[in-house]
Amino acid sequence: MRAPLSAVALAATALAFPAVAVAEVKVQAVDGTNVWSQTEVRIKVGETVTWSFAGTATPHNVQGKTPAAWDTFKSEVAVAGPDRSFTFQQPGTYRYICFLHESTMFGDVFVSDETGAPPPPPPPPPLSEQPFANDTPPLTSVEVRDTVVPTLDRVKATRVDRGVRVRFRLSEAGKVTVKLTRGKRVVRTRTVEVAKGTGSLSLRGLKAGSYRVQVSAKDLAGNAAKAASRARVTVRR
Amino acid sequence: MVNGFSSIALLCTIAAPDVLRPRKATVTSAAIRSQAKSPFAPFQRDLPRIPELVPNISTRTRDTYAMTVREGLAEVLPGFQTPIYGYDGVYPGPLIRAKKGREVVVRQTNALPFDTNVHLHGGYVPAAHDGHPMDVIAAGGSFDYHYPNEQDAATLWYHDHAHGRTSKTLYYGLVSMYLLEDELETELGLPQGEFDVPLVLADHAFNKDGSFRYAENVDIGFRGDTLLVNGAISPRMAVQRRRYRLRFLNASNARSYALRLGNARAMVQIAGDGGLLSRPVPRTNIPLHPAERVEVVIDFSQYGPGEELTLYNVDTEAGGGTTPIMRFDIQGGKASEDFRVPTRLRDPEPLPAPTVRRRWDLALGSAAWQINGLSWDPNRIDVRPRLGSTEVWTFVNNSGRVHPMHLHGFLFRVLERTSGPVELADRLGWKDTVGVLPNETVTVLAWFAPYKGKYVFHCHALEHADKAMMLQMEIV
Repeated sequence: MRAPLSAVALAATALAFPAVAVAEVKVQAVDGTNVWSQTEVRIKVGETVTWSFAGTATPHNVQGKTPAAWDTFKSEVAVAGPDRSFTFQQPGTYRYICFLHESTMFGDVFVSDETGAPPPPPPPPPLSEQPFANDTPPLTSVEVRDTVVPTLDRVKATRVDRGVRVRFRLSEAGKVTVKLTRGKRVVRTRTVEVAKGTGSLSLRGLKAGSYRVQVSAKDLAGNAAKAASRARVTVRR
Repeated sequence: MVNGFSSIALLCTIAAPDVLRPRKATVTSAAIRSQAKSPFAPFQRDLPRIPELVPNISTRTRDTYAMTVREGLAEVLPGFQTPIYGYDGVYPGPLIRAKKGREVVVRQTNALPFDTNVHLHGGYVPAAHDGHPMDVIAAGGSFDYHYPNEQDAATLWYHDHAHGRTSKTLYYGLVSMYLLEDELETELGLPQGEFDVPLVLADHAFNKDGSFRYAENVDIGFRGDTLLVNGAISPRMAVQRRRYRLRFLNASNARSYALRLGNARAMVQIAGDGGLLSRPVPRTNIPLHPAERVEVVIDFSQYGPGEELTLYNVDTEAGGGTTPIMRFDIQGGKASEDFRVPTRLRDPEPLPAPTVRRRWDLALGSAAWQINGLSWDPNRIDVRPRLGSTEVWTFVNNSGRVHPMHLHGFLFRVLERTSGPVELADRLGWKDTVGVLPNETVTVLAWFAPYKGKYVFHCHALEHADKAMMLQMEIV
């Protein structure tokens, strides 16, 4: 559908400016984006196209790509090299490229015959030659961290034979630490990894006396439960 | 079928565990659906594990493998079949796991319609089996590559090296890993099996029919807009709460990476191109130029179940689809592990004093890339180092492009570079490829042992190597 439309548009342009004959067309190499200033050049047989590299800072050249017979046209790779011209004597579509930047620096010269009839438009490329660009937006999250504070509750310390048993409930899997102090001295500390839910922990082999029991918890990501529970237990002989 | 499974797995991951529920308000299911529609959306697929090749004959001292280099199809974009060239028709090719002191023989049969050969990158291999660019297997032919494996454990890789075509054949899939193991690694107790993960990074672009899109650019080399890890677009990997050994290979044509974990979390580098470093180096940002390898240990036990950690490419050229490399999803459950990264890994070998200094100017000539004003000529020997000697080689980059310079068959140590101090990790280990940055000078100490014969050295930006930034050396 597109091809006939553009052909009509071309014909209209040709009718609008019937007397203007462009003797020479200039195509400039553009740095940075590495493109040609014109990617479509429309001329008649016998006219000349000049490729210019003035003012460029990266190396470029111009050479013919298609048709195969035109690939003898080639300029030297150089920074801001001399201009290069070519006079087209046969109607057709000629592709020109920069050898170093072929993916972006390419264009076509459409050479029409003396009557001005444009060469037939090339067919659209198959799907295997059309780009399928990755258009995913940039990522917003750097990482997903667990910042939810676990809850430690239902802490109960009871006396067992020469020891203390601590029961607790933790809202997610984590580590529970039980610390026993007697007076100001820490007598025993133990940390266990527990699953989510209720659990218990026994510390045995204690001497008779009165102990303060502190229970604290962290989840596996290291978030500490809010308040450490305290209790007091007296161990008897 | 494969699609069905992956979409189920996707749903499972999005349904985050209870601990992460409060985030639900910001991530609506509609947002997730719309994101999942693009075939390029990252973290949709689980990391593919590279298949391991099984030897067809194993004797007391030797393993023999057989492989066919042929065309194949890969499902890279969901719902599309991508034509590839592949070792045994898969991308990346099957992994070979070799043991030090045990010879490996690989019979490569060329079922492609053109010449190919196989270069074991980083290996000490006799010249006849190294994959010299002119030493090719004709279409329909086959060749037995003998690898003696008389070097320390290292992450090697093998790829096509037939001259003038590598930028296309590697891009279309002739890339694979070769893991050489030794007893020292076992003694150190490094993570093994499923916790030792080879990762092949490569940038690609696509056509509307799902095929790989290649556009030649001899100046900067190929740049794709999408990152593949083991052949999947920026995949996700479920990890246990323990340490993993990750082996990264940059198999891109010409793209450099800089690996960085989200919020600059710690990675410990344990090895480079030529095997283990003398001691581990903690790093947050690891540059990785084409053909380079790094091995890191990441400790996931410091993260909670349900947490997600992303690995990024923060190179200055990265953008859009080439920024996210992969994501690690921390799994629940207990994982007990005794391993700690040892403080010493490998003692460095003493080297003979260098006998010769040579300078190599890297620049774009009038029609092709050149070293010292010379382009590749198979009929010319450009340098003749003596067997067993060391030489100081200085690469002077007179261009605005990165040139990852690679020596076939030999290893070197990086002595100094003008862009700043040499990375500690690069000083503590052997390398076979060094990225020479634009307008930079890099000096290396190369050791020409253990084999005589004709080898090449070249730029590993494949478009540069093809046209024709490669010289020939003969060890005498």
